[in-house]
Amino acid sequence: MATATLDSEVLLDIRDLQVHFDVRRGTVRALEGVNFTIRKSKTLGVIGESGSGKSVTARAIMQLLAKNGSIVSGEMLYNRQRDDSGDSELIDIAQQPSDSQLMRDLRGGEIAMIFQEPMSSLTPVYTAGLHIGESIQLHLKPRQTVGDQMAKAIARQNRIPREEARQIAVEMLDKVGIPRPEERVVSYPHELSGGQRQRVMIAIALSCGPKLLIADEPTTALDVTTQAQINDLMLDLQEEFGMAIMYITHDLGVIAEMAEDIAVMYLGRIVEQGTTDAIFYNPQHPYTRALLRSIPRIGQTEGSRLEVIEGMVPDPFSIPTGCSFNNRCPDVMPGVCDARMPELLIAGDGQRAACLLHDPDTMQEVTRARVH
Amino acid sequence: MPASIEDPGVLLEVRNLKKYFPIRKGLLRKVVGHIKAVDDVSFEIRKGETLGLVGESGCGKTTASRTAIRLYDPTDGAVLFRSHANGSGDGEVYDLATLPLRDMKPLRREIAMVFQDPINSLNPRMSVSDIVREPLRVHGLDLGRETDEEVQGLLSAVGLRPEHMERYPHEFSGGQRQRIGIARALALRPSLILLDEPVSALDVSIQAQTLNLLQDLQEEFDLTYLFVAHDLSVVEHISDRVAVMYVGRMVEVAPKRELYTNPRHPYTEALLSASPKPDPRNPTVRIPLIGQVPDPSNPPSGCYFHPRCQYAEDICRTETPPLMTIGEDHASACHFADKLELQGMQ
Ligand SMILES: Nc1ncnc2c1ncn2[C@@H]1O[C@H](COP(=O)(O)OP(=O)(O)OP(=O)(O)O)[C@@H](O)[C@H]1O
Ligand SMILES: Nc1ncnc2c1ncn2[C@@H]1O[C@H](COP(=O)(O)OP(=O)(O)OP(=O)(O)O)[C@@H](O)[C@H]1O
Ligand code: SF4
Ligand SMILES: [Mg+2]
Ligand SMILES: [Mg+2]
Repeated sequence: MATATLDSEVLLDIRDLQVHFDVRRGTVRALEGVNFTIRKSKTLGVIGESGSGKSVTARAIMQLLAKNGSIVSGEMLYNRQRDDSGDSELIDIAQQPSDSQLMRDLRGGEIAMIFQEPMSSLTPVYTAGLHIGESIQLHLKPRQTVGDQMAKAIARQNRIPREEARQIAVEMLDKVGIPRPEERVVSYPHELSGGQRQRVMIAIALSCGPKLLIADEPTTALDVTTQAQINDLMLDLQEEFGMAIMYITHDLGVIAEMAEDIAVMYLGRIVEQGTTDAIFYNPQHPYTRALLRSIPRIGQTEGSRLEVIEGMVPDPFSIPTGCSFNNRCPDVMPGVCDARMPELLIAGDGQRAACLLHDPDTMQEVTRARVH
Repeated sequence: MPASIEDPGVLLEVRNLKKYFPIRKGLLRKVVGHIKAVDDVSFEIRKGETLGLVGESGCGKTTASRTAIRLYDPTDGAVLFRSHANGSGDGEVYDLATLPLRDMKPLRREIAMVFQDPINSLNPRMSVSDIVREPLRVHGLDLGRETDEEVQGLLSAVGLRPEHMERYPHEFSGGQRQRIGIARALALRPSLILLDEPVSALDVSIQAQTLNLLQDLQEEFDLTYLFVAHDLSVVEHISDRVAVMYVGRMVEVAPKRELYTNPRHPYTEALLSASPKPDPRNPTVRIPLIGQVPDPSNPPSGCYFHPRCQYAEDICRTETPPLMTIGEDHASACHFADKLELQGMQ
């Protein structure tokens, strides 16, 4: 059992999480020390370039990493509330085997996930050898009716008879805004639109009343109009059920609308975490700043060019030494940024940023060196 | 007044274009109906401009744009293209819709296309230099050594280095692959390029690089773009004018500022309000869009948007509003285009 304590408003605290994958060429260090917290009933948005480790983080929290992956170190402290007594217990998810009864209980009840559509992932999808927990449905199967699949999943999650689960399925479909749910449960997935299929996945995920919903790019493959409906729906349901959401996306517009807090990832690390307002109006990490400047904004880009982040994300086998952003950073301090690793430190409006420019010790040395 | 092909500044004019796909059923594959993917669409593209084309998935953007360059044979309508192949001046106008295919080939050199998916649109067994010279070869323009230089020039124009020439597509990132696709499109020195969701599959920072590149190339090579995308902020950034499609029809066309700040069709208004703004202090007030996009094989009566439109009245259910000019360079297909007070952005 973990000995650490958590602030009572914190639901999940991730500390120095490292995840590695074994591949033929060697080891992919997908997460190299991830730190962030998710507050109860609040939405944490996770943004960052493709391959930065957003989905791996989500899967680690579920203990659903691919077979060639492992949690090398770190803690994932989950503040579990006992509904009956009001007491809470602290569970370190990093220490729980994927197929343990405790993990199954958590996945089936308190932590639910909506997966990224394979179509919308920019990185190659690794499906072979996935540990798919028995209570988790990745995607709707084509040849079974929506109702059958929902009933099966809901019955398993909530350990209730199939018939009762079917009733809940119909109620949930209604909740997520699918018209005439009694008719919809007998239709097949291909008879639903993409937006409706995603609503079904949300209905399944929410049927067990989770405390934490992990949504990995839930709307990336959908139209803006459908995306708006799904996101509004998630906000409504969050208000109703009081769950926390970890919302992963590439879309800075979506994150501005959805999240109270934001974590910015780059190459397997959190480079900045803070309130949405602080991240958008007073970003401290050069990567966050560059990211915010590189998006087109309606009404503000008349005749202008977009600012770009030069270069590309390095491949996972040639990550630069020191700060992993140093080879693309506009504010790089040569000889400093490639030599030491920045830590997450308080900066700006109370957020935390991992940049040596915000490290007082480093900056003192830099100034001293300049004077001499 | 919308311009027409009589105006030498217009490169392409599409008139009453239709593209229907047959729906077949049963053993005999009998035609039981039609998907009206493009249903009486008219627009023009002016020389040197970027026309953005937006709308929900399945509304017919890809079909309309491909039919407009005769990658698909139109069911009906005219596609008037101004060719500059034979020297200078105002060029000659051809109707691509009815042109025999053998006469199309020389015109193909003037029109190119960039696809959404940089992975599947490049032959994995061809090296980068072979991919880029392929169109030259097809048109009998591969001159060996001279062409080598040409290909190198094209690759450097899109920001790839000479040592990349002999590599294969899988050795590149998504953004680099899209650059290869763009270099290939430029090979025949086209005047018009159809870009179908060219940055949708790219990461934010790579998207910015690619959009800048497209703008630079447009200036350098005097290009005209038809830019299809669903991201309204990307379209606003790159376009001069924007056209909005809904279920196979054009519902609004206007210069971009005008369209975004002063929309004159309720669908445009709803679309703009659904677009998420990267500004947490000023969230958009959403115009609710109830229900689904209608089925293009069985569209609603009257205005196709009426079942989802909050301003609909009786006439909307019975009469189809045509695309009408309602202001300078601004057209809308709504019965109440000049009466409604619609909400734009900013
Ligand atoms: N099973 C695996 N084996 C090897 N490497 C993996 C595996 N799963 C993920 N990775 C690697 O881990 C890194 C992080 O991947 P992840 O899928 O978390 O990225 P992401 O931030 O979700 O990207 P995207 O925005 O494209 O979804 C990448 O370099 C990826 O290639
Ligand atoms: N080759 C085809 N055969 C039959 N139907 C087709 C064909 N191509 C497109 N369609 C149909 O025509 C309609 C318009 O499709 P199109 O691909 O042009 O839409 P789009 O606006 O480009 O959508 P998206 O944003 O998803 O790319 C859709 O209903 C589609 O299913
Ligand atoms: S014509 Fe009627 S239904 Fe169509 S957009 Fe205008 S008001 Fe709405
Ligand atoms: Mg991912
Ligand atoms: Mg398309």
